Amino acid sequence: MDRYEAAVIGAGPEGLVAYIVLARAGVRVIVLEKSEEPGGRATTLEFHPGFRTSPYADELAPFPHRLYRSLGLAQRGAVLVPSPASVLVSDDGTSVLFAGEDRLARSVPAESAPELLAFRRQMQSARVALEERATVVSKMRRGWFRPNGTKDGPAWPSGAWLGDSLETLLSARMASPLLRLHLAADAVCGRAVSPFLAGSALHAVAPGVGGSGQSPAGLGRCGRALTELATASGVTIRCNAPVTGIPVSQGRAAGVVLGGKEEIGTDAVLSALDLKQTMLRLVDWAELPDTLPKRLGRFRMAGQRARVLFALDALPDLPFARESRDAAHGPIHVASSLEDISRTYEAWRRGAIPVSPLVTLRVPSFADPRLAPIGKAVMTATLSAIPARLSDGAWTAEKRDRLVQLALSAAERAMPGVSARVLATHVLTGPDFEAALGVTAGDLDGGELAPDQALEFRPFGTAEWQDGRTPIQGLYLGGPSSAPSPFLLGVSGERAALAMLADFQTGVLR
Amino acid sequence: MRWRGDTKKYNAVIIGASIGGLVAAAYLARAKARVVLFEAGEQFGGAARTHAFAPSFRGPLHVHTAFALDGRAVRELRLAAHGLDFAQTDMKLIGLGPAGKHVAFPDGSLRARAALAASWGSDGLAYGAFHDEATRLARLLRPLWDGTLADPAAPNTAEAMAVVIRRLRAEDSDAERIEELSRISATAFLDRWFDDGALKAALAFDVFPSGLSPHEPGSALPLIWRYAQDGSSLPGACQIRGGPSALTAALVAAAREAGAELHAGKSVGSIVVEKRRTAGVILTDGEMISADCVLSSLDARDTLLGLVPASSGSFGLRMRIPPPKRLTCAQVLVALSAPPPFAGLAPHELGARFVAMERGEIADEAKGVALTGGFPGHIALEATVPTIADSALAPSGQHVLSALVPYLPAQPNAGWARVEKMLRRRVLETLEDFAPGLRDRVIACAVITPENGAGCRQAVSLFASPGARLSASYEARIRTPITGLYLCGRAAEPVDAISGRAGRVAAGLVFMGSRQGASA
Repeated sequence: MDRYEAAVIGAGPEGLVAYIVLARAGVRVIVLEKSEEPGGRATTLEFHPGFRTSPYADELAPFPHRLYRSLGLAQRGAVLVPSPASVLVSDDGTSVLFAGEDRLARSVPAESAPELLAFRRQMQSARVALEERATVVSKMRRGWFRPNGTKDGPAWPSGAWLGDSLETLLSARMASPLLRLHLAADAVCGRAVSPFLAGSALHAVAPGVGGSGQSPAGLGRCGRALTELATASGVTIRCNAPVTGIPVSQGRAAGVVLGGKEEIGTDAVLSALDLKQTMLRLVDWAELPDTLPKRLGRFRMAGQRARVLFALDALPDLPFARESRDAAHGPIHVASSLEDISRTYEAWRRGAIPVSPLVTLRVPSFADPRLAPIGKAVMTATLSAIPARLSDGAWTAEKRDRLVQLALSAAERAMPGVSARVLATHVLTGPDFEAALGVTAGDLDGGELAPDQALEFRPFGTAEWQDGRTPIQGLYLGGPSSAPSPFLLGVSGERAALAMLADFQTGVLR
Repeated sequence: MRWRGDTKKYNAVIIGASIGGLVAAAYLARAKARVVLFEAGEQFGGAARTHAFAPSFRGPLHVHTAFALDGRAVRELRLAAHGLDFAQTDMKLIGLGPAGKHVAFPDGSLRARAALAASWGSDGLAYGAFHDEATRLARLLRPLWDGTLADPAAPNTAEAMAVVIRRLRAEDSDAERIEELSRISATAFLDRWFDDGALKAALAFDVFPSGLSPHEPGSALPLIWRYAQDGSSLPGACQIRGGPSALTAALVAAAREAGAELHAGKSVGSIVVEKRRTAGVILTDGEMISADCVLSSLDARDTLLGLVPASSGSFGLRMRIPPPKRLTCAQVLVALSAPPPFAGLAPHELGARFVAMERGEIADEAKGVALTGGFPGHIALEATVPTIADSALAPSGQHVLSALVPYLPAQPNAGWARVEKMLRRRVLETLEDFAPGLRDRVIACAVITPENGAGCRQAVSLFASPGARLSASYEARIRTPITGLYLCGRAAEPVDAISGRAGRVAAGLVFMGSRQGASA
């Protein structure tokens, strides 16, 4: 059998995209996945007999349209339906924000509409700028740097959201406190962040909720489509193949080691795992430049959320969705105030379960009734700022139950009577994400989202690692820790793959 | 130079006798402008004064070290000739540690650096390299922070930084470093040289005037700002002999000598705005003072929302003014019967400034708790013993200790009366850890909070975020949306520190504006 030219570690969405790009360019690639099935976080789980839903996230980060089209995902059945609305339930009332501008303008108080639309457009243009910049792969080798956007193509979006706090950003643009809380909840849901601290405005552009959209039938459909595309491109995916090391000889990656024994020799390796998993667990530290392990260690990664999956014996009643069914199809935030979110963050930092976390509910059964047996329903709750490691010891059944109670009491505020309908629950915390997806410390974002480790500062602090190139020749990082994750999906895998192709062409790798 | 307008009208009215206001008055009067200053209180100097907090004990309020004082103003206004004297200069920074294991940061001398290396190993060795790099970056950015770089900055940090980089014509590698500074945290910056948490915490404490905490993104910039102060014409952190009141007195003397009219006990009720241009002020007793320009020592909120009539400021102005700050500083002045017994420190070392913050996280936690109105479990503080160098502040043999506590809630949930008590106890407890037996020497103890000493409150500048405020030019912080109305107090400084530089730059802008007006 021919020798493989490149190995891709991890068959999650990023890895699969990288694999497709490489395979389509004619590189002989092997994909190695530690679990039984490819898909990574794009999975559908049957958590209770007959009840299925996406366990790790309700939505994936947005696929750039270009990538979504060129991959042909829609043809494979991976249809992603954007949330038509998002809802906030708080002490001061309920607010529903629709995705469409027309409906949005009609549904909010007249005096708030102009500023809300202006804010939407600003965020939209920031996201467009981000997508544009994300497609540029620098031609130069490692070590390049230009001050943001002066010579090297379009700039990463910069502006108020790089330095400001979320509260500053919102209070300068929005007069209504309820809308401010709603937009803040949209921005930070699923993550641990204080809206008062500098740099938190960045979360407004990151996909807190506004991702690619929900996949009817769960995200597993999307994972399967990617897998099919990958296999159709010609090469097999090896599952149950945990990579335990990347041997390095003379400063070059020489292949991968499986399960501690079998070695597959390749010219190049692309890791779709996060930064710490790749560099600190798979590579021998002796091969890294002197100060690097220390710097890598300081890259901030921490689990920031927990998920509770509910099996319900009937669809819940949503008072706010009686007039418009669409309101039931998106995220439903339950929050009290920005101060509460800040307190939650403080508790998270201490390693404690917060008293009143921001809870984001979704009822996927409204979008696809087939997820549950006839007449029954599934509901998910994402609890923000739940530490992966608690200061008072491991996650016990009792602590997991506390999460269920927190989620239920929030759900009760948004949809009265729902607690009586619960048939079964399934709790996922940081350690579960870590075990299932191999993400360091259960961090699904590939690293804390802060100005000093986002965009051109991804993976950490300096621009020298852009496009996935690392100090080890032939080792590329295309996972959640590389730019532009977690803003966009698939792009860091694609960029790393393109960088690898460029290096193959210029002869650096052969 | 001739100033336009009739001789009955003033060229400039200055509201409030802050250090910046007094500096502006002195500069304008020297340029032969007709200038008048109104101070609402009975004393000049605003927040900065020497406070008699116990019988025969006096302590410096707010400026227990004058680290940011504008060296150029001191020199050009000949403040030394008017009585300004420094009791000590180049005050050493000592990070307090448990059981006498302090870290004393050396001055530039090789011997002192070697001594640090001897007791702190590789971290001590790295200090020299760190200091050189911080000073180098500070020197690069100094034009931005000493008021010479005049460029109305773009409205946000990232763009402003790009403008700065272009204007400074920095090399590519330097541009990279500067850009990075506005993104990374002080801790991340210090991480490159040091391992020891206590050592890093002591150095990172100095970011507090910006309102950022050491782990917050962007806090590396205020750290470098601090180094830019050390390199200005003042020799490091200085202690003013006689306390801040002596500085005020020197400024008042200089301004009066140059011909400025200074009035205490007269407060301004409102600013007169005609066609989006200032026309003068109306005093609370009803008297109308006409003037071309108005300079305000108050912060952006108090000036534009408090003094400018709502009818003239309706052009979306109100929305753009940042909300009040959630954080504040407080100060505790302690009268002692003997020198504070800091473990492991010789009497001659007591003239340093001490930072009690063993971990950088203390500041972050305090800030997090204070943002929601709570009182932090641990406090970080900076203490000095002004009586070591300036014995006139206390009876012979007795001492004054001044402790500055940042990251406190501006509106505590428990109310200031309770917080005051907690603060007094917590400060003495914290100090007791490093100076066992200190509590037995306490004669009196006064807590200065925003309730009883307005200057503690953080000033609201025209820039909502600390990063944008730091990377804006002086001109952008001084000018307001109303023509002829300038800010010259702390709100116009890059961080919340008393410097007087904004007063000097504002006076320059008034002068330039008047020349353009005259030629037009």
